[in-house]
Amino acid sequence: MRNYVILGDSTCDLNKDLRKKYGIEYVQMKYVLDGREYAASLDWEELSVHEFYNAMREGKRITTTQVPAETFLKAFSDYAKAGKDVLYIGCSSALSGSVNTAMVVAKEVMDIYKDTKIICVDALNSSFGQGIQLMMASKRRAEGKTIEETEQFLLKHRNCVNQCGTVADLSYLRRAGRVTASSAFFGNLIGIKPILISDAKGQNFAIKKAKGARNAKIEIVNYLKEVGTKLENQTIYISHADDEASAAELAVLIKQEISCKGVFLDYIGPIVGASVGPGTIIAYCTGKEETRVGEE
Amino acid sequence: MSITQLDAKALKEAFISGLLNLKEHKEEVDSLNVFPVPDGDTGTNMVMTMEGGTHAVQDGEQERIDDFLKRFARGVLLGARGNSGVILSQFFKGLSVGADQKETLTVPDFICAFQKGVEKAYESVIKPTEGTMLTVMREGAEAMQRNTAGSFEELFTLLLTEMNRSLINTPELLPVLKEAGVIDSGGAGFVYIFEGMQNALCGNPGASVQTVYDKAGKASSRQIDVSAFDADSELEFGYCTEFILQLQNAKVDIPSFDIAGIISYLESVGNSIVAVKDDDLVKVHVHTFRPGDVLNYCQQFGEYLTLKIENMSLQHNETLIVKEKEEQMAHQDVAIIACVSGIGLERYFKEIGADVIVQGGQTSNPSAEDFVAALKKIDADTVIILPCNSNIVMAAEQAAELAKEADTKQTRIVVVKAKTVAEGYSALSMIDKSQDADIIIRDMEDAIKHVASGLITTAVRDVDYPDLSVKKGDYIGLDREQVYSDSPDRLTAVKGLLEKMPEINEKEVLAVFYGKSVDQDTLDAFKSMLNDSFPWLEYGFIDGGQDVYDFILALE
Repeated sequence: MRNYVILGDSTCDLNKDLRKKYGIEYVQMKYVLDGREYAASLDWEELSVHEFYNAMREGKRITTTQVPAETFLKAFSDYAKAGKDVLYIGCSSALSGSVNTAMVVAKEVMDIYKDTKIICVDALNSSFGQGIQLMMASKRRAEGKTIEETEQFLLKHRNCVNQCGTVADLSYLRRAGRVTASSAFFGNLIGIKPILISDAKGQNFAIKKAKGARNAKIEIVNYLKEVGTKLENQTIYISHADDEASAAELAVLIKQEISCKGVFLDYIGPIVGASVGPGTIIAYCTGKEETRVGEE
Repeated sequence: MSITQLDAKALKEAFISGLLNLKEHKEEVDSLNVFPVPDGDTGTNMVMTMEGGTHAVQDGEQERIDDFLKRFARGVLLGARGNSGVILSQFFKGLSVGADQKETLTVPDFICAFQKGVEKAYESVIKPTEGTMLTVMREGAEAMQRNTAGSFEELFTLLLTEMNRSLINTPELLPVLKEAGVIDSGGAGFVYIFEGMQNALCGNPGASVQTVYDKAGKASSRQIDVSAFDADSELEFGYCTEFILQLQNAKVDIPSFDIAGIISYLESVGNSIVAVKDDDLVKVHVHTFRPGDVLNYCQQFGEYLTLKIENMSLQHNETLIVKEKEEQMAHQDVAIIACVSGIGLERYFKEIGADVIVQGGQTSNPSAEDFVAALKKIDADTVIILPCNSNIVMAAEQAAELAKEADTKQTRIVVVKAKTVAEGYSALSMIDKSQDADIIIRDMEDAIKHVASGLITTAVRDVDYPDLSVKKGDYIGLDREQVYSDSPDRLTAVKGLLEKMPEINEKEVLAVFYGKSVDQDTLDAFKSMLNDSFPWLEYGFIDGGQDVYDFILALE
């Protein structure tokens, strides 16, 4: 069996340690701030996490770009030359065009390197929802599963990776066009927190609203309890957009309410962060398949 | 002369006289408010409620008393405003039930019908409170049953003696009245109605019918759409012409002046004539095609104090236009009617999901009929009504009943008992209208449970509460139960209120609807007060544009 690379991108939000532990590579998207383009590094090399989110807090607009075709071409070709297959698990196609680009580029590369398999999977999730799938794939690989077996596993289980979160300010998601929610649903309401999940098509979908940050956290915990299976064997992940205190509060609440192996906290990376805005917190677990679909 | 039989005509005069007497004491009844807040409305509501009845029977033919009472009770019901109005409407409903199959009423018939009225009134309230209008009418009924009266004159004397006694006793039964140093307002209104009826029945001239119409005309005057009469229109209905003429010594001998001459002239140029001489004034109401002639004619006796001439084609058309404007809305699974007043509040409630606004609030409770009109505009499987005021809950519920009777579409009508603007806001803010009706209703009811409502206004009189002294003119902070703060400084009153609101430390979100009287500087100061004293609250300000309340607070 040929060795295969497990490849993520800038929205998978796995830090250096986790990537190293699970042997995960990633390709970078880009973001633009004040007219300057930055590589969307998950290790915050150019701008620190605080510099990045503070710029947003100051009202600066950050735009993002998908993984350039050129980046895929180089990465895929390099792996092919090295005799490796590639399993790319990309950001939800509802949020980024990267997976589509990857599929197009993969065909071209496979035409040149006939022995190479490049398989692209739409994670239908982002942030740790995508990161968890990369880690799952890595475990399957370690168990000796082939690239096709791992692909099939992901296609079957990608909607069983559940994510539920809330944003401090819905206007970021709206502006980025990355939420399905009617204006009447959120209107000009004070203290209303949308409870967002990633739906069956990988869109951010507001399933309900909560009044106040604490109630929002209670709703998130309720969602985890409702959809999570065998939570006692799971680490529950929380990603946050530079609001450690709020994420820690959520962690405390989860530990109170759910018996689980542990809670892991980390930052939301620059790409997801740019569309959800500072103050966002999201929790992740695995469990029941998410079948809900928000508005088209 | 003693009256032992009451016919429809006599009862109609009595009701009109009752209404008139109530109107004369309207402000007094309004001021009998438990809170020292300038929003007392019981008198106003009861007047409007009674007007519903008198309006419904104004062009009555000679008829049986049971038919007359049915029409009157129906009118009262449609005009009912506020809780006192609803209770009153149920009393008349009972009276009409009790008079069923009667051509006229004898004294025992009347006592029996009155008793039915009391029973109906009690039934209309889920938890009847003693020390209110209910007590006054019940004790009145009991007194009539205990004693014997040979005539209506005797009966009304003992009825009013007892009801007055009962009214004065209301503070003994209801501690909030005693604390506030007032008697029950609804009870007072009820007594005034029967006092007026007594005037008419016992031959006290008192009430003159046209005064009622004068006042009623003013109360219900509204903007007229003049587009209904254009260059090609023909005058169909003439002009409703009303004036008060000041007789002048220079022109006539006032003491001996006889208006018979005016009346016979009016008869030659118009109809629907009402003309009375009151000392040196002459009041005239006439429908005529030539108002100029009438004015020229009458000017020979004096000069005009007031004049009102309206093209009745427009009045007529206006009714048609109002009907046309009730255009049907597109079908919805769930539609929401909310009841608020204030341009900002109305706009905001629509923005966050209300389909139809019924204007109304503390100082002008809408009637069941207003809700019925709103319901007619809507085509939905389920209609949810948010009264947003405790005094409107019953009118809304009554409207739901009335609408159900008349409805062929099988609409389900649910009143979600939001008793304050804050509760209504909270209910609307938490729903997702794409959900099923039951989920929406559940979410609304949940939301209402978690909101605390606060109000800031100006005290209209001094009151001493056990632990708070309220001074007239001060700003006070209150909720539906209690006055919590008093200060000459508006924001100090707000802060005092917030500090005392239940579970303030547990609350996270504050919505502030600011009224007409609030300027930007005050808002800025309000915000810094919140940042300093309640830093954990996430807050937002909305221009409510409401009267009476400087601020309406929704704390969640």
